[in-house]
Amino acid sequence: MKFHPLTMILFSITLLFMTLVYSHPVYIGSILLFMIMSICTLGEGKKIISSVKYGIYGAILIIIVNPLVYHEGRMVIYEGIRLPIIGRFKITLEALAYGGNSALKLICILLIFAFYGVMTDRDDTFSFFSKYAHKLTLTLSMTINMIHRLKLEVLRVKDVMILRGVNFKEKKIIKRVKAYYPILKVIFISSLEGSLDRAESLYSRGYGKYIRTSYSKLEMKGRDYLFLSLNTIVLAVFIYGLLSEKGLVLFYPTFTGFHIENLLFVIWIDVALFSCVLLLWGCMRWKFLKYKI
Amino acid sequence: MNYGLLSVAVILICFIFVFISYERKKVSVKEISLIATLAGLAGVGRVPFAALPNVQPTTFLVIISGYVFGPFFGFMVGAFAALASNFFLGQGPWTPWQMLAWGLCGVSAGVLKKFYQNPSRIMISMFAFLWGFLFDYIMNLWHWLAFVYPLTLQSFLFTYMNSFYFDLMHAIGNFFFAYLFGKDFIHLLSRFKDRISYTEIPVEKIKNLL
Amino acid sequence: MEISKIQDLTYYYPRKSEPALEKINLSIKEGEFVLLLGESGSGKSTLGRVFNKIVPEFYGGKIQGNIDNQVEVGMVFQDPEKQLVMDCVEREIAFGLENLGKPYEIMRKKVMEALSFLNIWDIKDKKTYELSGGQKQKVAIGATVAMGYRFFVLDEPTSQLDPVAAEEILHILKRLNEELGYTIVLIEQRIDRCFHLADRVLFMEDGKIAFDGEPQSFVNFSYENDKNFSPSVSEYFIRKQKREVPLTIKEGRKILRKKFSMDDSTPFTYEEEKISNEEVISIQNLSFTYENGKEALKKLNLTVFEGEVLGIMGENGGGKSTLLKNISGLVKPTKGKVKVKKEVGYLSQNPNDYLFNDTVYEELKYTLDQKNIKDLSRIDKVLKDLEIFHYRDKNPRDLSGGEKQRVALGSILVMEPEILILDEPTRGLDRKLKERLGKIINDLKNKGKTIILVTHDAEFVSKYCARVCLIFDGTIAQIGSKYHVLTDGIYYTTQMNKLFSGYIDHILTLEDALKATKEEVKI
Repeated sequence: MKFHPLTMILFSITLLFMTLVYSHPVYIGSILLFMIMSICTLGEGKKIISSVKYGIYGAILIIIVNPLVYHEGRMVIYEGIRLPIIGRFKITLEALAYGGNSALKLICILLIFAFYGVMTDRDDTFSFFSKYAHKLTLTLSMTINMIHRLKLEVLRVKDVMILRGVNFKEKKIIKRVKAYYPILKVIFISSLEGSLDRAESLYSRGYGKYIRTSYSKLEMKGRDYLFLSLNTIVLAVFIYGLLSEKGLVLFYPTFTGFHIENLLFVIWIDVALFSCVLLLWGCMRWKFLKYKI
Repeated sequence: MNYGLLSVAVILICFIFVFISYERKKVSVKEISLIATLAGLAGVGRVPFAALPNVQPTTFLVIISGYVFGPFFGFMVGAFAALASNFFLGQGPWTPWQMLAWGLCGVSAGVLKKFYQNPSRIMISMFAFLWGFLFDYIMNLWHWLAFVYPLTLQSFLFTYMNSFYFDLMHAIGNFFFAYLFGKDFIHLLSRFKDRISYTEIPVEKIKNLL
Repeated sequence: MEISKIQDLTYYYPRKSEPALEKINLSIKEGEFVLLLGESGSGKSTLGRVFNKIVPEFYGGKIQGNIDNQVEVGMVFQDPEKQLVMDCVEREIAFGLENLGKPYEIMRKKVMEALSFLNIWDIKDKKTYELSGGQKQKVAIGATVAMGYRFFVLDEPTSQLDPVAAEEILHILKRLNEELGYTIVLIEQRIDRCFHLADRVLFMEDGKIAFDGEPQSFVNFSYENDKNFSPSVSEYFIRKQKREVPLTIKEGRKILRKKFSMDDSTPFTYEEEKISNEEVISIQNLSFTYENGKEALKKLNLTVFEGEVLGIMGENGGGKSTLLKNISGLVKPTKGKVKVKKEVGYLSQNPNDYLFNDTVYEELKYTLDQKNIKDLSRIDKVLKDLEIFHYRDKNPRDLSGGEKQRVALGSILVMEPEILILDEPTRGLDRKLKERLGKIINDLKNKGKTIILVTHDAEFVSKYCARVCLIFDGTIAQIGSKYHVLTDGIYYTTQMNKLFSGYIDHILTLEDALKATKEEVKI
């Protein structure tokens, strides 16, 4: 069950905006929770782990850097010696919280992209774009095919070279990089030769000779319209909240805006987002949504 | 205002223009296939190389592609390498930034050739070394804009200092790739360029040859 | 009706002083099935590319003469990996239609029909890189069928495939020709499998057409000029001075039936080769499970003796390559013991994986450097043994397929391994090159090396191996003398065996057959 790419592009943009504009951790947490819930509803829980894995380094960096470089907070946890560039070594609670909040945002953004991947078919996205930019999509899909092929080829050539006596576990860096030289060169030459064959295949299939049409099987379905209307509702709630500065807080010089009214509005956002999850769940389980629309 | 978001939006708009020009440009099937091939090679180079952190032949491959085939081609190879490999490593708002960074890397290599037809081995290696830092600096800029507050000189410097070790690894890796393989790979690629002659070879009629 | 006419065509590739094609005159009639044969380098691929004008429009170069085509020509290439460009099968098939600028409704219909005709509905939504080689080749054919071309040129479409997939592809071609009346020009090495499909055979030599005529008369031409390009069944009968030469097993058996009867099948007295009983590899209870949980080998037992040539056959995915990895030490067995007493050299199926140095000499030297062997005189010796000494200072990448393979083999042989594993060494080779490889194998055997051949090629195994081992689903199905394992089969057997099975038992090769029927000069 996949959605139209346009539906999901619009929805992802909405989510991206919300994530980047909100500064209240509870609001961001809600979005994060929504992402996790919906990805799990679609039965792709593993994707969460694999996509967050790449963001961990960034998230940790953020948490470390922020408190080290910014000392404006009022609640000082630790104060130490003077250092060059950084100045006085001082860690404040506010800076720590801000760092944590940013890390949360980063993971949220990662999940939005994972969510898009789960909700749409990559080929649909390609055919959606190929309508407008076929050279771009053709080059891209050829590149992706290449990467798939090369990943296997690297392993194959590595086996061959091991049996020719190449030691890939050299201690010295230069020697180790040198050991990889044959692999790199073999796949480099083979791919160049292959590129001519590919071009020949493109040519013999008439690429670039005539004015092109597009084999796009995409059309908006009922559930796309349903989702788009929910998207509008989410957006409306979000903008309404923004006008009254809901979900916006300040960390510096000290925590401001963490009062209860600011927090309560999150319920509306949650209701709107939760209805999206409900729709997804319905599309998975409910025959009417699954087949009719 | 969130500068990270703004920067991504600006870069995205720039890319739309670049890609429109790519669509409009008369690109032959040989070029399309070659861009895809080199981008694929550079992209697959992003898997950890030799089990050393941040040592990867990607930047090196983009540089030699740009060097041999010119700035526009280099930009496309860099951009497609980033875009395609992120389908495996994870897409995100950093994708346009990476595309830009590697794209510029290809462009600069193409420009380098305009000035130095026959650069020495050490020069190419230094160029690659420099791009190890430059690439990471461009990416750090994104990081700083998107996730660090406030945007002061101090936090800027610190973000850059923090990743110094990784940047250095990247630069050293590039240096060795360029030093050990550079001449060889450029030679290979130039030979291949000759073979496909880049623009289509004209068909001649034989007259009275036999 | 002629749909393609080539007159006085001479063609030079760019920057080449030797013509690739010389004074070609040819006309193809509609609905013909033409088999285009020739040794590698004879210009057959170039001629194949003339029909849809890839030569000269794509390659450039110099040309003289006329090419007159009435219809558009579709082309399918050798390597299935390098033809597919899209992400998903359905879009791949539609790709050509998009290029032609067809409207959406027509595309839908054509894609649907192509999928149905080739019976590949089930892989419609798969990613192209997930497919097996045979499936990829089918998709490539499907994409061309969908484009509505009625004239197909196929350049060795099965050379990279295993026999089952190859058979399927040839069957599809037969259907295209017989059911739809499409014109087909097929360049092919597997003569046994496709010869009877052809209406007409073209034979090329040095850029010229040396023979153009019916398959029957080609068998005579091939015999008289000592070309060895006929199917083995025909080869047998023509050597027996038979006038009406059969092309298939069925026709051949019809003739034999007059001479022999099923009841008193006389066994052919063959000589078993003597094998030493010195074990060089002994494998006991070997089990291997991959990290993804795939059980590739299950309690496998195998003994290899010194100085023998052992053939290993079996389905793809049956565990052959896992066994090789265990023997060569690339992976450690999950359970059981692998004892290899001498050094192993391994030649993988793709010789390109070996070649990266600038000269053949350096290619061999690289291996020695890695192994810290100082004796450089080995290199020239190996090059001479493999008859590639004259290429010593050439770039190995510029050589032809068979020569590349010998360079790759050379880069292994300089280590002077006592055990040699060859993985699918006959893939993509024509008969002459196979014979050459066979000679090398025999030479190595005579020097006392132990050789393990992994292949699908029953003809090759029957010629050069003494023992054969069939691997099925991670265990050994049968092992023993080739006269036991390869006879009485329906799949893992040779053409000659199929021809004589029930009449004379235990016949494997043409030589066997000629020997067994020596007394009866005329059958």
